[in-house]
Amino acid sequence: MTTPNIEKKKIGLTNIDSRIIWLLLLFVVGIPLLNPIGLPVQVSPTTRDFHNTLRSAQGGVIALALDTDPAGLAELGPQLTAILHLARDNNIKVILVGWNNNAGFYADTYLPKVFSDVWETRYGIDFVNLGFIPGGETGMKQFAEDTWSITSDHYGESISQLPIMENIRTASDLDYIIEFCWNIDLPQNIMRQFVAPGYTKMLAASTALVYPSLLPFIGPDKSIVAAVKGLDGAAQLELLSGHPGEALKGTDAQSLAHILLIIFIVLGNIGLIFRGGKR
Amino acid sequence: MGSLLRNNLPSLITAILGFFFILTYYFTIQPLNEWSSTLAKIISLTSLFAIIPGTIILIKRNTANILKRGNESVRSIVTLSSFIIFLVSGLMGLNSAPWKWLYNNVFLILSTAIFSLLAFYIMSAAYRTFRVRSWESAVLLIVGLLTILGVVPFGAAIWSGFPNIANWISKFPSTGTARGITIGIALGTAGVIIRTLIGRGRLGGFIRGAE
Repeated sequence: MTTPNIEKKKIGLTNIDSRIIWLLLLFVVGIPLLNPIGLPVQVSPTTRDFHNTLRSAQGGVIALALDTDPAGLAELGPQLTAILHLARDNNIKVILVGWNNNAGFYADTYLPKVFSDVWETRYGIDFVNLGFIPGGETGMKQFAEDTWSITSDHYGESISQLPIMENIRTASDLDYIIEFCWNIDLPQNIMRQFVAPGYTKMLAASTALVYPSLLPFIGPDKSIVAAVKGLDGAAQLELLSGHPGEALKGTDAQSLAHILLIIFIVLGNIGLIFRGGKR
Repeated sequence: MGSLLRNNLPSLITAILGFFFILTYYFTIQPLNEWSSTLAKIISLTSLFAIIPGTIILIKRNTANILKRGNESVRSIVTLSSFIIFLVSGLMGLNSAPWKWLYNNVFLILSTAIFSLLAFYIMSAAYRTFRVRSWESAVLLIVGLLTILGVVPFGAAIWSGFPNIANWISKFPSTGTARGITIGIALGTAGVIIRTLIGRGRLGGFIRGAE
């Protein structure tokens, strides 16, 4: 009787089982989320620019365009909360709108995190949820030219009943529009329909993945005046706004996950050296 | 006549509307700009009607799968049931408790969970692919590591210079490269749009029915 010639898969530093990697990642992400470590967060010049630019709109009105899919909320959600805190603390009125069909629901979820105590008294005066506007880029053009073309907010309240909208007839009445960037297409649409015709200036709140694509457009004299990037940007905004929240908790997990990534990359390369550079 | 309607009319409508919007974007000519605003509202409204064929196709396709009782039937049952549950709760009102519960506790959670799986795959993929086998891959690896260390708080805690290096990488080499790609895409897009508008592009063919 012969034993079958089963080729055993070599297990070494260059070939660690994916399941081990996933399990370690699960621990590394899960533990700091449950028990935050509190690693120090340094505010980057980019986030500081964004913070200062936003504060310059003190007493004005800004629009937040919530153009993300739910998957982007892990990074953009904490950014949105921090921006809403900054707006409230600096007496900036906020109009939440979006060309993604989830926009109204996001606003409905995130506005109460900051304005729940004044919802009954200040809704429609300091903040409003205009919800989803259909039509993609054409819908943006329509809103930029005539903000009253949408007639009612997310809850069916007529625009004419909302004091915040009284002096907002076109996008040129807005100090800034902040685009929550989940992909590169929608920010470019905003640039074309709001910035290029000269209606208003644009800020960007973006995921870390999209940020490199936005880089050519970011600068004081460019289409995007300032931008905040990813979960680390959200954590820095939370620090600057004095409202620590989800992002600061998340950065610990993110930091540890990146450390684990670096460790695995180094291990893989050590294994490669010992095997003489062969696969 | 049928061929004319199927092939040339869609291209003609695309060309007329395309040129019209380009004209009113770059120039202020009344009453053309006013018409452009009205047309934008009509197009926004029309785009909502896309939900009708979408719904019909979804029901038709999944019902067929269920009737066939093949491998796909279980998935089709789940799809159709989810569709009906969300439709009914949505019709109860977007502020109704069932809709809000379903949206926040089912839709949002599942969407985020599916995307978060990517982190696990990226981790194992990065471990397997970031191997120094040439000078080019060494450069890629070093730049990648410096960027990671520069953007996470842990990197700054090790050495305060990491954020500055990451900032320089993103500000100069990365921006320059992204700018080149963006300009290339913009020129390509302009070319595609012009060909579409004059009915010579692939998209033009697609609109005409891709004969």
